[in-house]
Amino acid sequence: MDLNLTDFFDEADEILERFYQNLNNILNTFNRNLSNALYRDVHTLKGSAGLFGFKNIAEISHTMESILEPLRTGAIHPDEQLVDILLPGMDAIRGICDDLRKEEKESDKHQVMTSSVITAMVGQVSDFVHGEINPEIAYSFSDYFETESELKHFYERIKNNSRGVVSSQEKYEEEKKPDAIDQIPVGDVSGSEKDTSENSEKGPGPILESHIRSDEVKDMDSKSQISETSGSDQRESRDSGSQSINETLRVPVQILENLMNLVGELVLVRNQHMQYGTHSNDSELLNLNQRLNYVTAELQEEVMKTRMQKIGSILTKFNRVVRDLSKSLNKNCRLILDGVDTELDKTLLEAVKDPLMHIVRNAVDHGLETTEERVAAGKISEGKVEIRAYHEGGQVIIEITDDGKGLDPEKIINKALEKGVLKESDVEKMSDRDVFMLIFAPGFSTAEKISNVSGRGVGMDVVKTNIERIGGNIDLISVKGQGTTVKLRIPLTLAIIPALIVRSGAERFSIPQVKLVELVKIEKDENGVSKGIEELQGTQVYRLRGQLLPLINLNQILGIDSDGGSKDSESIVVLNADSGIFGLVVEEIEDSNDIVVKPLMQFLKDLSFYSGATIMGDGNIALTLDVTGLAIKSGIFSENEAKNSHHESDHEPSGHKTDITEYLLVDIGRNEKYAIPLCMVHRLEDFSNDLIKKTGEQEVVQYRNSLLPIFSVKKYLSIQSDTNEKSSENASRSVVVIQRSGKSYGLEVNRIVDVVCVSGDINSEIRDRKGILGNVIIDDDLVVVLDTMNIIIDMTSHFEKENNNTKKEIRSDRSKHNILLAEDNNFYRKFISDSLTQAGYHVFAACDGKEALEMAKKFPAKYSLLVSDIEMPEMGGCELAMSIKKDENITKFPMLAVSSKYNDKAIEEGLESGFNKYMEKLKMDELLETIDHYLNLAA
Amino acid sequence: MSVHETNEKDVPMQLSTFMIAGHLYGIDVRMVQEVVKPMKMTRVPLAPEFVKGLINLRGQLATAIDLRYLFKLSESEQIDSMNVVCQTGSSAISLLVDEIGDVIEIDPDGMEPVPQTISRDIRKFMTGVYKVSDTLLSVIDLSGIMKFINSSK
Repeated sequence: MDLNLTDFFDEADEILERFYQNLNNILNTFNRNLSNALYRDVHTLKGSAGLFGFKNIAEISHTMESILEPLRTGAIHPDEQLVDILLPGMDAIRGICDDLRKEEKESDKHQVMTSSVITAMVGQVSDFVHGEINPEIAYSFSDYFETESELKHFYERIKNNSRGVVSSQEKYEEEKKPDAIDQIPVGDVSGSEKDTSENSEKGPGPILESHIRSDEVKDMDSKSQISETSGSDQRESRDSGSQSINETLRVPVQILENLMNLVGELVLVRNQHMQYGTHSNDSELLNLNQRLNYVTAELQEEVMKTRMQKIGSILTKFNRVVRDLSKSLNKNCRLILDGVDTELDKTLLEAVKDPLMHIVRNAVDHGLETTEERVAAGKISEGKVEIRAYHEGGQVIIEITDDGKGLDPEKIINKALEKGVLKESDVEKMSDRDVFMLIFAPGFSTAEKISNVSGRGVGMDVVKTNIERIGGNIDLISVKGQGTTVKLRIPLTLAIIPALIVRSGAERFSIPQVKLVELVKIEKDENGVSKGIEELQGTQVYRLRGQLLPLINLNQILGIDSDGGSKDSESIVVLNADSGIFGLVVEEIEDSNDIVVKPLMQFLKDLSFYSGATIMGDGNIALTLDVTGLAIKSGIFSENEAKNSHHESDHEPSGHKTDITEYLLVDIGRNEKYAIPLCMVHRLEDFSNDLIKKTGEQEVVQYRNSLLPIFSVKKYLSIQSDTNEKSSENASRSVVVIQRSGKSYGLEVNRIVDVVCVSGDINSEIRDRKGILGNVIIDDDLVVVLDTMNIIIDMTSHFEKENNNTKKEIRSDRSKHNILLAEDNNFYRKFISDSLTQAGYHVFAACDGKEALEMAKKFPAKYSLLVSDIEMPEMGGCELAMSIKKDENITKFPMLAVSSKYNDKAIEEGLESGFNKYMEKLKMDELLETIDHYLNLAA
Repeated sequence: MSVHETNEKDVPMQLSTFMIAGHLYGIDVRMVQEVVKPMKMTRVPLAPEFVKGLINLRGQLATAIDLRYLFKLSESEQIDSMNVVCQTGSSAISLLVDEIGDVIEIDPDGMEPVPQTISRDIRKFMTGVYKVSDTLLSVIDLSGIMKFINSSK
């Protein structure tokens, strides 16, 4: 019996879940299958509740079934009101179920709850039908019925039904034999159901053959008036309700967990075995090793999959939350979900559920304005909360964006001062981002009024702790008046993590890859002193692109003795602790590896230097460093905190992704500032003077097995050297390496300053010299953006003789063609457009797929070729390609995709949607060649 | 407090014995998971002094505890210690000893309390003393050790 009861709850959960989901879906896209599914689910629930003697659940679901009946027959169309009527019923059932799990018996409390819910539901229906309360709603409702009598009939039926059930309660309790029970719930009301012909042939008995198996329900469906979509298989119709139940198996999570652990062990054995195999010449062993490796990897992946769940399973619940919340707050709000198919480890999914809920509630409660405020601010009255989930770099990113009023830094600061979270003296030093992060401080809440929704002071700090507990992190971006985005980064899985292995002394340590920002290698001079590391008040710092990076020496802090002098270099591992970034100086970086982190005994964990340990391929143990703990223990952020988090915020793209461009700031001499778009930069190098040789007038340096020509940007731009410039004294020269058509070129600059993110366009109107793309404003300074490609082309032209004759011919041919370009990023759009124009083509650029499609529709025969980005707002590249292909009016032309998302899956997807070729972004020569090829202009 | 107090008095108790710095010690055999030969140890920098390191026990981590330090015995010249691995709750610890002895059977009634003259700091790790033919055997109280370890930082 107990087991069956569990089954009942499992089924009820499943049904409730699906019911909520379908109810939401049906508002968006109405179809018959959905309404059938809704009806069927309630019906099933009624049946099984009856079987177990849960009469309250049976009654409620029976009433709901009656309300759904006209929907199923197509007499009415679903709308908000209908949903509002049904939801309390479902909630009541859920509530009762929750209690039953503990008590296994319905109580008087449930009885009261049931009758009030039923009265409420019936009452609401009657309100709609009779228009006693709100004539407007009644009017809209009456639209659903063809005649007035039908409408009356609907109401009567519902009333009768519910009364019928109530009067049948006693019988329920007397007769406990399953078959008897089965008959009862609807027995009394069968009369009223007769005329709906649902079961007129069968009579009252079989209506509730209550163990309601799916086939029986199907049977009913097929017999009822509503004809299923012709020819549709019944199994299909069942599936369409929601996810398929076929061929799935319920497995206790514990078993999966054990499996996961065992696979973890297997991975370790595999690693050790592989290591052992490398010492052997036995080909049979090596062969077996390879297979073991392969099978283990596959197994690991598959087992991981069993624990993966779509994030949609929790996101869709928010539909309901947002709906209820906005209603109770009198706000008008729409929830948009994106990426519901993104998968995440089950335990992690559970762990992010509550924090997410909190953030979403906050967005609706604090973030969004009331309808009046929105109208006054000139926004559309309906607020928008968007949840996006996607994979990025081995993590799942969840972004919750609202288009509300945004955070007010002033308000936060005042509040923080008032609550004692912040000291007056710190205010000046803080960037906006620091201020925003204050809302994650314990005991902080910005709500002016404490509402029952949020603002109880236990808030964002708990969210932050919970997210960090699972190895994730949280970030917040807000623009006043425009909205707030909360960004969560969650690791895919906890059990196996990618890590960097470093060595200090004889010990090896692993550092979780998620904490890693970058690696910097540092040479040592003859005395064993590391170059570039400076002392400041007894602590070490390093100048990383002009910003001071506080350093922790792993050997020093852990007290490891080492013969560090023997090596001629060491490395700085730049790490991101919660309070900022810092550099960890280690002797050597060994490898990156997937590791299984094993817990340490509590007293070792309490040291807060280590978060665990892992067993390496060779059987040795490497401790896993606790990055945050290290930073705190070393006290590195006590004073530098503000500065560092500011540094970090420079790197943090904010607001709207699309018009953010990253630039490398370089110093060329003179007071003007120069920048190179970061996407152009291949690598940054420092060459010592003696390495640089001359062939004729051209300076070259030996670089990765070939010669790297070095051009001085200063010379190219004819910039006079400052008199006090010390370039000749410098032992090394900073070179920005740029790749063009497979070759590397070096551009020499005086100094590499920093990387900055800039939103907004390049102003290209003022171009006083060659080799310049235009100007951008960075921190109120005017910065000149270098056109590196052109500089290189110009500089190389005198020794790379180009075949000018053929070029001219192609140019004139090219000018006959119009190219349609779809690209959302301002910089890329300009760059591609300029390059193609320069090559001779006429380019017509659009900011997204939608605009491009409109252009193509307007002039169906104008364009000879499309170059399109894949990821764009409004309409992506794939959709664009498909739309163009489908549109019969548009004369077909070759379509090329250019995207930075360049992997097999993306390529396949692109080609499937109709692109002739899928190319990597910014390979201009290749693009030009391909365009020529498709337009038959090849030289 | 001690695991031995729960023993039925008339059932003989089996002790796994070992030598540390010439002294004989014993521990309830049921506490011992296995005895393994000297293993490679990974040092845990900054850990309390009694932690000698971590050992890899066929994929399982065990924390190696230096009994010499706990019992305030002189530093060993011997480098390779034997491991007496004990499972405690969810984790394993390895007690480092010089030499492994026999498993002997004793009558719990014959066990005497640890003399008061021994410092409390050491007494808390022992259940009692047992007289064997030519020497004394100190019976180790694992729960006492665990308590000490977990309260240390």
